Order: sequence, then structure tokens, then C-alpha cells
Amino acid sequence: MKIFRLLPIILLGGAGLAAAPLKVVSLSPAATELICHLGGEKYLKGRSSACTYPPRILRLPVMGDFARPDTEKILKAAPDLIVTNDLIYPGAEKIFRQRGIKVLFLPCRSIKEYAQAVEKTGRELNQEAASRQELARIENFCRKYSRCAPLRQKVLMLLWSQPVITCGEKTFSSELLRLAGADLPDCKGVAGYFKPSLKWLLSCGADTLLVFEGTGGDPAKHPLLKHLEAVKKKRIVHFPDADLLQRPGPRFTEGVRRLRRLLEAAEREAQ
Amino acid sequence: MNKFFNRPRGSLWLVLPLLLLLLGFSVDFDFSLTQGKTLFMFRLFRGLTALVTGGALAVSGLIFQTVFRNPLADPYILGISSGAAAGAAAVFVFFPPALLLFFVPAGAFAGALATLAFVLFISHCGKDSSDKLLLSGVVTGVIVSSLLIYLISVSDSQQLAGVTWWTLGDLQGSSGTAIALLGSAGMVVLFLLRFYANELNLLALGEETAAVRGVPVRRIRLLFVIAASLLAAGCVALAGIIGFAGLVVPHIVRLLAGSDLRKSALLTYPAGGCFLLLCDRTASALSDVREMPVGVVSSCLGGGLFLFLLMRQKRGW
Repeated sequence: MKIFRLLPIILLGGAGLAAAPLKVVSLSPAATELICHLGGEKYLKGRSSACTYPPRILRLPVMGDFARPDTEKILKAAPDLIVTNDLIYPGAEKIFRQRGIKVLFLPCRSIKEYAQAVEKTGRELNQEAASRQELARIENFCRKYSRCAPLRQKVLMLLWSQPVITCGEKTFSSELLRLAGADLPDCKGVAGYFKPSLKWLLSCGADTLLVFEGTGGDPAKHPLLKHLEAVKKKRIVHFPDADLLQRPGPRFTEGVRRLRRLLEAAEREAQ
Repeated sequence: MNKFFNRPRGSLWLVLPLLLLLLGFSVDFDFSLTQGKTLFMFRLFRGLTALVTGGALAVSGLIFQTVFRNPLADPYILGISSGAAAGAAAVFVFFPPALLLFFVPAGAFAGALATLAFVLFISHCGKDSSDKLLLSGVVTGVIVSSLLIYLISVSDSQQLAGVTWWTLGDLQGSSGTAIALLGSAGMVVLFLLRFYANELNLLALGEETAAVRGVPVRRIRLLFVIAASLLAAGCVALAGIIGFAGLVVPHIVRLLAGSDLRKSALLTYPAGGCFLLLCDRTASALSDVREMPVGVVSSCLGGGLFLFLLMRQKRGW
């Protein structure tokens, strides 16, 4: 009989536990954007110093740098979940797991991986409906843009000018560039971001140079870049927000849209 | 072979054509490319940078090994590289990207000079000796390295890429004026080295022996430490930190031509130039699209070559 008397208490307690607010710390800027996009902002209790978007999350306490969490601060905040990418210092991850804190890894190097991140995050934050909506949005967007006419432009993406660092195959940015209808110069299968050799840089045949805002001075005055055909012909596209094309977050669609517009304008100008 | 290298003029006849040959290989003559002429000019400047930097590093290393009587001494032994790296890293972290092109070499040179001045100041407090100078340099280098590590820890990914690539050495993009300046400085130090070769030979036997023979030990030591450090600082400002060239080339020359500075001094400069040109050419050949850091090749190639010569060495060091 006693057990029946306790039943309401157990049920209510259980309900109370299920409704207990989830405490989440995000250490990756892309994950922070995704959490907010899916409506999970209310769960966020901390962020990394690199998490700067959306601007309203700047009020959250900073709990370390990108991939270098401040372990003490995080343990003090006692979150239920830490969302990060696979660049996190492995020692820190071990400490969190030992303290019973769940660590969710969201490696995002492609649109496919981004979709997986959407699914995982939605599940963890009980935002399945929003995650399904986001997946449908990406799918529609990708379908629409893959049908667009190709731009027939080889675009050299300049990530940094001192030293010159560009984008190779199998990167999120190169995938977005292709989605926008353009292509990379032939980098003979070199993957990731790399420092190009002089010979390749001068002979890669890039039609357009894509420069991200704040990554260096004027390419026309750079001792190396000024010799590129694209720079000589003034086919330089300045992209205002690097995060839109480099950060694997929900804003990548906006990045592709803007890039397409800018490249189309450059093509029209060249004709 | 050693007999041949013992005659400096004879060995120069071998080294100089080799140098020109390597320089020729470094320059790309493929004018069929649309950018053939530009590429040729860049390669030529890059080859010249390798030549003057390699030569200067080798001469600087030779001076430090002689003055400190230490086979492990290299151009960076007094913390020059750490100071330069900290100076360059400070520029990468605190300066806007548009100003990096000019301020990174300037910051590196200033960092190297500040470190040198500090080391000289410390070593001149109290009793003055070469061991004290060496120790002050090594310890200052460690202290300055911690500053570099701090700067790296606060840098973002782009700044980190800049600092990392700079510390790996880069022969690309040097201006003609900078190359001419470093080349002239190298020639002046080489002339000094040849002029004071007898005094330095005596100093290599020990400070007391040299003093007994009338060598102004303190003055000569200070002159050459400053000259070699300035040369190293110039190299670092021009091409970043290139390891092993300054350590291994003087040893290779010593193995081939003996330790008499009257013979080895003139040979060291072109040998250093040859070595770095060879490293640069190898780095270019190893990777077509992605730039290979010349510092990686110089360490591997220099280390391997040195061990090979060490195995074949029959007489004592």
C-alpha cells in the first residue's frame, strides 16, 4: 500500500527531473550558432571566446578559448552537456567525462557532416522539430543551387595573405564554392588549407581571387599576389564576412547566396 | 680529398661553380608558362636569398663555434632566434594584417637586437667570460621563448598560421634591397673573419693561450659576437628561422678543409649558400602544389650529411 502512496511523489519527482533545465556549454562557434538556430539558446550557460554569433549570446560567460576550454570554470558551472568539435584538447574531454558531463562532438567539414550535427544537436536538446525543419531547409537549398548554371570560374580563395594560405579540396569552403557554381583551381588533390608553392600560385589559372575581409592588405600591393592574372585583370571579389563561408553553421546558405551574387557580378563586369 | 680542400683557392674553384649550378637549377627557366618571366624573377630572388642567408648563417655559426670553443654553438645560441620569433609573433598578434609585410621583419630584427643587448648587458655585469656570455644567452633565450609561447597561446588561428610559418623559415618574397644589405653585411663579416683569422685561431686554443700570445681576447670576442649576432638577426629578419645551416655547415667545412680559419673562413660562406640552395631546391622538388618549409629540409639534409661525414671521419675532432 505504501508504494501507492509514494507513487504520486515518484511521478511528480520524475516529471520535475525531466523538466529540469538542461545546462549546455558550447565551445565551438559553429555549434553555438546551430544551438541558437534550433531554439536551444535558453539552455546555453557558457561559450568559448570564439563564439561571437548571434550577438545576443555575448552576455554569456566565456569558458575558455576555441578548442581550449577553461576546465575549472566549466566544472564550476556544472553543465549537463558540452558541445564542441573534434579539435578539443583530449585531456579536457577525459576530465569532463570522468565528472559525468556528456561531451557532444560535432565535426563539421562538409555539408553532410553539418546535417549530422543538426540531427544530433536536435536530439540532445529536445528540439527535433526544429532540427527536421533545418534539415529540410538545407536539402531544399542544396537542391536549388545544384540546379543553377555553372559560373565557369576558377576561384582562388585567399584565407590569409601573410603568409599566403589558400583553400584546397575536401574543405567546407571549397564545397560551398562549388555549390555557388564556381570551382577551385586544380590543386592536384591537395586537401585542407595550405600554403601554396610559388609556381602553383602563378600557374594555377585562377580567374578570380576571393579575398575575405580583414585577412590582409590590398592584393594589388602584395609582392606575390600582384602577379596573379586575376589581380592584374582586377577580378578580385571581396567577401565581407569570412564566417559565412568558413564556419560550418546555419548561415552557410547566406554565404553561398552572397558568393553567387558577387561572382555573377564579377563575371558580368569581365564580359 | 682533404688535401684538395686544404688549399682554399682550389676548393673555391670547386664550390663556386657548384654554387652557380645550384642557383641555375633554383631559377625556373620555363618561359612557356604564361607567368614564366615573373616566376624566373621570383626564383632568382629566392635563390639569392638562400645564398646570402645560408652563407651568413654558416659564417655566423663558424664564429660562435670558434669564439665559444663549443661544437654545439650555432647562430641562435645567444637567444637571437627566440628574440626574433617573439618580436615577429608580437607583430602578428598586435598589428593589423595590412601592416604585416613590413613590420614582421622589422619586429624580428628589433626582437633579436633587444635580446642581444640584454645578453651583452648581463654578461658584462661582474666577471666577464665567454662561458658567462654563453650561459646568459641560453637562459635569456629560454625566458624569451616563454614570451613567444604566451603570444602563441593568445593568437587566433590566422595569427598562429603566420607565426608558425614564419618560424619554419621562408625564402620567398624578399626584396632586392634586403638581399643586398644582408649580402654586404656577410661580406664585411667575412672580411673581418679573414683579417682576424690568426687571432681567432689562437682564441680557439683557449682564452689564456690567446691572451699570452698578445690577443686582445675581450675586444675580439665582443667584436665577433656582435658581428655574428647581427648577421644572424639579419638572416632571421629576412627568412625566418632556418635551423641547422649555421651548425652543420661549419663542421662540414672543418671536416673537409681543417680547422684553420685562414683556410676555412672563405669556404664557409659559399658552402652555406650551396647548402641552403640545395635545401630550397629539394623542398621545391618534393612538393609541387603545397609549399614545403625549407627549415624542415635543412634539418633533415644537414643532419644526414653531417652524420655521414662523422661516420667517415677517421681523425679526432
